[in-house]
Amino acid sequence: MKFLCVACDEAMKLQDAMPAEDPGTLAVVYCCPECDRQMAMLTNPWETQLVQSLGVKIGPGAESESTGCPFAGAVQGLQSAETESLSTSETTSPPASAEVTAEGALVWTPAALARLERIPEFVRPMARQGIEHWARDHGWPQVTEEVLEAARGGMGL
Amino acid sequence: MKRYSEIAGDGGSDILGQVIEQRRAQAASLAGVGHLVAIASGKGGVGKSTLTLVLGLALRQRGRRVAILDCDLNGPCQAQLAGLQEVPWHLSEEGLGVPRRADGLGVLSLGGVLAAEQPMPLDSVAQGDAHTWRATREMAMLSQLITATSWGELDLLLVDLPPGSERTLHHLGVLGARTSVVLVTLPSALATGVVSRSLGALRAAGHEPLGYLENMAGYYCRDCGEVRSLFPEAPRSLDLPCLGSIPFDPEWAERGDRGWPPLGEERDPALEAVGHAAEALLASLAHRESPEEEDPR
Repeated sequence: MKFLCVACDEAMKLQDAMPAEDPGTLAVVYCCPECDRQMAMLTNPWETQLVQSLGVKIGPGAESESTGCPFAGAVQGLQSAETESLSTSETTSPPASAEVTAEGALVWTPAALARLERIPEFVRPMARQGIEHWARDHGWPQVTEEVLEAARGGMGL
Repeated sequence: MKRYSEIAGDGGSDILGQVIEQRRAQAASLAGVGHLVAIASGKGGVGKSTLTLVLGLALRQRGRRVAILDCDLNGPCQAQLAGLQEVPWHLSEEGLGVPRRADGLGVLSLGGVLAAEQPMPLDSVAQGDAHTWRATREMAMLSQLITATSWGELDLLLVDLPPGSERTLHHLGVLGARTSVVLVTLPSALATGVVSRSLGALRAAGHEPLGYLENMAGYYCRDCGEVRSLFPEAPRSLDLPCLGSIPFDPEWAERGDRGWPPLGEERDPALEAVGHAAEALLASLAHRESPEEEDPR
């Protein structure tokens, strides 16, 4: 989708994208580089979801980002709780003696967590659960890179 | 007034550029895969998943480096068929490692990480009306999964598709033009009619399948050792090369529930038929020229 300032016959440039007050909606602001006239495109939840479903990001500088949640460049409010949870865990140093977090999940070392973040966001909770289950069954107190490699040895038939 | 094509870019987000980058990254992830083969059918319940797994085992037995990608995000079953349900995914330095059986067959299936009673979680800012975005979301998720996976060097990646002509086309759009297609049908007039429509839809979209597999082509009786007729009459065949006709073997259901054991030296009509189909598939692939991927711009 492109926007044209009819008066100037000039392509408008994206200035900002932000969640609008109505749930699931976005306000995407464009500006004409000639006359500085601004306009906002307001999306309904289905339009927002359709673009989000493509796995792309909306916002200034979105094209230069390589990973993350759709709209991450400008729209933090639409990020999922899982992303926020992972970000929090990432900055937490693993306590040497503690086995579990306050939520009851096994602690992951930053290096192990970095590997988890290389897989798509939608499968992280499931992959995480499976690895923690395996680690508990095999007596590991926390999830390290060593655990991730050891789990690989537990092949099937 | 300027026309659409006279304006470079979209003013900021470069959505088209992001989509192209996604495709480039996916193609790079699959660069070590010799052949992508989608196992598809317009008809559900024809045994695509089981045939995909056993075909993979037969190809592995013939020394090929093979993996299976289970594209059914809503009803994944390849992990159970392969006996890899309890095997955690390998998070490697390079990305997601493909879980492998002891015989070397790799199987990537959401069934390996989703509990049996757990549906595929899909959050949405849209309240309801999932038909407006769900297919797009699923295809993007599949592409992300393929891209994040470290496939390594493979001779073949068998892609087990969910049923339906339209979904087959959606998946082929994600997998790319170099994907070969094998259709699966049953020797019944009903199934053949539905799969014929799938073939028509594929051809209309520019895909010419390599051939088809006829599953449940008779019933293998383990008591008398003979293959008996299962369907009342032989329907017209599809207008495609038949890569194999595989009789129904009731023991396959039990193997699938337990997780298929490695193929050994056992010889029975069903496994022999799959072995012939594997060889026919390899011969067919050897003669196929890979088309160039389209530039979405």
